[in-house]
Amino acid sequence: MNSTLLGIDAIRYPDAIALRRIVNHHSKDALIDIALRWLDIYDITRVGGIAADNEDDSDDDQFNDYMLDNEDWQASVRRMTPEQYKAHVAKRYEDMREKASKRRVVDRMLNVDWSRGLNARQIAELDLTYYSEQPSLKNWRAMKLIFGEEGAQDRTKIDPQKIRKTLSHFLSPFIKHHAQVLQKQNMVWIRISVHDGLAPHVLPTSMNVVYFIWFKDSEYLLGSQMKVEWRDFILEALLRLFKAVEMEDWPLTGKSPTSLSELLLNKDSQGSHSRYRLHQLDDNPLSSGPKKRKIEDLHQKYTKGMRDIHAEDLNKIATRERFVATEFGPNSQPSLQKVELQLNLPYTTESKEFSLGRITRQPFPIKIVLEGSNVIEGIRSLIPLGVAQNPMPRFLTELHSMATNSITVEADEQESSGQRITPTSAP
Amino acid sequence: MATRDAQQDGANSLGESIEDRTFTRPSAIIRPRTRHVLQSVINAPLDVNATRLRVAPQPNSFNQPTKKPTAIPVSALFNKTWIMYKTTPFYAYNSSQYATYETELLTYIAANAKNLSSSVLTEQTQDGLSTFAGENRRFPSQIDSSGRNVIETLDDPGDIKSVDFQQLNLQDTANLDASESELANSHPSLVITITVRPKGKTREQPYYCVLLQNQPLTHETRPSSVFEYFNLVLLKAPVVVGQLVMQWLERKFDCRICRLLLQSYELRKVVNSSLEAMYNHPEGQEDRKSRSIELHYSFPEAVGALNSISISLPSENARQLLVSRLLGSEAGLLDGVEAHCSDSMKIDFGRLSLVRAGCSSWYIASEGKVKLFPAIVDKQPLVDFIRDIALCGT
Repeated sequence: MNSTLLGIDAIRYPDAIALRRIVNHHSKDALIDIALRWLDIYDITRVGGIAADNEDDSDDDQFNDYMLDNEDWQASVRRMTPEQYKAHVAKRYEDMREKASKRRVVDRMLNVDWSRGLNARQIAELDLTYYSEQPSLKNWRAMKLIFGEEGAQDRTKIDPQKIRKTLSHFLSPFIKHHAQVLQKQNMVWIRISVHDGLAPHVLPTSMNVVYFIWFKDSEYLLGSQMKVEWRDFILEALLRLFKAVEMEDWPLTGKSPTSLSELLLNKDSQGSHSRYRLHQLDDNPLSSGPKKRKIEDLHQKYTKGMRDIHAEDLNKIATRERFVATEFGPNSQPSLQKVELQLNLPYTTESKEFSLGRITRQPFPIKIVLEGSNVIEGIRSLIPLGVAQNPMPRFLTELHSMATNSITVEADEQESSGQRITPTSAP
Repeated sequence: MATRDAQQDGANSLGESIEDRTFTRPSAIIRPRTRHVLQSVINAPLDVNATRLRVAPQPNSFNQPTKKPTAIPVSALFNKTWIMYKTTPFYAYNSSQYATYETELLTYIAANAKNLSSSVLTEQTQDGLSTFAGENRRFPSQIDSSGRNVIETLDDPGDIKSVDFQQLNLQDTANLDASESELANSHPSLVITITVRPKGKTREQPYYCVLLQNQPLTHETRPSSVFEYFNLVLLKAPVVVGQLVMQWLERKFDCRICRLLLQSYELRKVVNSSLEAMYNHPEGQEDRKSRSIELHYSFPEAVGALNSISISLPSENARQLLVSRLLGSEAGLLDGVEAHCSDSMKIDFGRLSLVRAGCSSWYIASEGKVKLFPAIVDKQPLVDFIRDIALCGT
């Protein structure tokens, strides 16, 4: 089934450095899978006999079923019908899976089978497959869709298949672009490459390509970096697409969309409550007998098998472990790369050297920034390592339920813990 | 020897071949014998001046007037990120020989920067590439992620245009009395500016090496007049040029220059004393508008997922905190801030190590980098700050 491509989809991009860069960062197996998929979707160029199999010269004996010499082999290829030729090419790719290097696969794809260039859909597909495998390469910012009253009923009925056409329809009056959609489980990836101001056969640079992830049937979107000049147009088109009234920036950024989705969508079931969400307790009241719980040797866990470490007070260690388990839960924490805390508490009264806390109860504002590969996991590991003490304050232990990167903590007499925690509003 | 005499006579007796020489050759000339030459050298009186400095005499060095180098203001130090080095005293540094030093350094850099295969900096690898021999030649400079040694390859820095030596006065001499200002002027700091036009660019780029003088606290005489004491060397230059300058200084003045790395406790001391001088005063207007104080700490290695934590504190609050310190207490501002954070977050800041600190006057990092801002002039004597840093490092 060869689909006929219209408009911007049909423009072909010839082999160039920019194109090679997009193709080359895939692995060889991924490329071969993609090529096999494309054989059926997009027309392949069928060059005359000699050029088509030129690169297989040295390996002729292995690939050649009939043990014919080169001339006859070329002629028989030329005589194949389109279906036979496609099967022949498919077989070639399968053979290249083990025997050829990635460079040969890329050369074959770009110079032989699609020698007129790849069209926009193919390029978009390449990009989307790559980034959906490795989403941590991009920095994602969260956005929240706000539906008015009329839109509330329609919002769950957006069909991912139709997103591409609708989005293009809304965006085309403003910007010359190409849109492509890929759905992976509950994440819908949208890629918009902006061709404004470019010559027809020139690929846009990676700065001009914008990615969005929509969590299916939710009101949250993740977006990658986009240029200011197109931001309004793209956001407007998305609003129309999702039939929302407004879109606001949600103060959450990070590198891993799965973690971000957990923080955003499962705000109420983080930490120790994650056990219920993940069905780790009470799966079936009729299940056979109470399972014997393995009692973990606390001392063993603490010393990690090294025999010359003796813990002084096992009770203390046990309390620590219990605290960590109740606050953070047994499951792994979603990852955030940067967390900002604005602490507006009055100066501590515990200090022996400084009497500021006893003189005044005015807030002593300090801003704390924590950075790392997984901040929440890091905070959780501080207690067993002794860097922090339990009980830890609420604004640290409940970071996973805040769904934001930046928090303000203020002293508040009415709250039970004496502190009021709010997400910091954007300046 | 007898045979040689015989040969000579033999040659003479031939007649024709040496006829040209007969009238120029007086019979009294004796070919000098080795033992005679040695004798004369051993017995000759020692000429002290000739053997003291192993420097090739410049052709015009005696005729050139010793001009005073131009002075540049302290503001040349501001707003640049400097890498800090420590140095041993310089031997036979003559502050009036600036012109000589300039030409020598220029030729040294020009000769060794361009022709990288025969430069003093490089070692030939097996591939024939010129690679950088680091400060410690026994060990390679870096190891990459797979554990193999990565040797930095040298880039050609471009055309070396000029080298200038200029004088720098750290203190504002207008405010000092006569004896102090004379002291400050007698041992000024030195700024070496190397102007280079990088390859492929049209604009010229200046690189700097600053030798900061050790300003003595009191009017003591120096222990030795042959040595010149420098506190710190600040460098802002790419690898090739910087290493060549330092090599030249090491070879010319018989000293040793090495990186200054600040230990955590040393950094804390410097930061504490500087912040003390800056903020321990009753309320003033300017504190509200100045930049907040930033402190960066790193976690111990066992905490893998967290890299760093940074605290940012407005300067007005820092001032209030310092003013509220109890009499007789030795605690610095850092201790006060850390106590508050430890108490609020229950994270023990005693286990974290300070890596970077910054305020409105300076920004300093434990890997030996410092950046000064113009605001330091009003807040704190620059000399004290430099002296505190120079006390650090091993």
